[in-house]
Amino acid sequence: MDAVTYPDERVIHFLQEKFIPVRLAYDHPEFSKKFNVTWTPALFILDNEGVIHHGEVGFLSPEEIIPFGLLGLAKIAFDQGHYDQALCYFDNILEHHSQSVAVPEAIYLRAVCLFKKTNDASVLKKAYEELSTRFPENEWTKRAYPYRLL
Amino acid sequence: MVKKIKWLNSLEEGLKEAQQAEKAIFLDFFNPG
Repeated sequence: MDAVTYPDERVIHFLQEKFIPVRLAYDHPEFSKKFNVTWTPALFILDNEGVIHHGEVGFLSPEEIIPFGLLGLAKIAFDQGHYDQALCYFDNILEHHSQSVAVPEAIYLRAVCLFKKTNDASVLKKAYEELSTRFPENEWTKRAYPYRLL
Repeated sequence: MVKKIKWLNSLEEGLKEAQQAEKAIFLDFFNPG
């Protein structure tokens, strides 16, 4: 991460603009146990009360760390009921990071967000159709499988 | 343009700044070894 991802200017700009970046040693006496850290890098997105909303273990490239962060911001907004804000973050991932591994989860959660906002179940079925077409073997396609019946 | 990420090494400090700035926290556990 220090050699490739964190020196990238896009990453520096994104992390400084959107987050307060905090770095702790993997064996931090208090927080490594609290966050169940057993391997590094272990990356988490927290809201400003310290609640975890998103996390990953392992190297993320400059191309993946930005959609990872956007997905975390979307999940914070979604979990707090700010659906319009969450939709902006999901749309950002889908429009500007279309090759990211975060895309299937973003498609799934975007549809859930739209459903919660509108109560229109057809958005869930459309999400399943898109996922099954573009990512037939992805775990988020399998999670959306029941929506084919809506 | 900032040339390096300005990391905080305290989650407590990070949370204080995050509340003041109304931002989220990006938390990285790393191996300094």
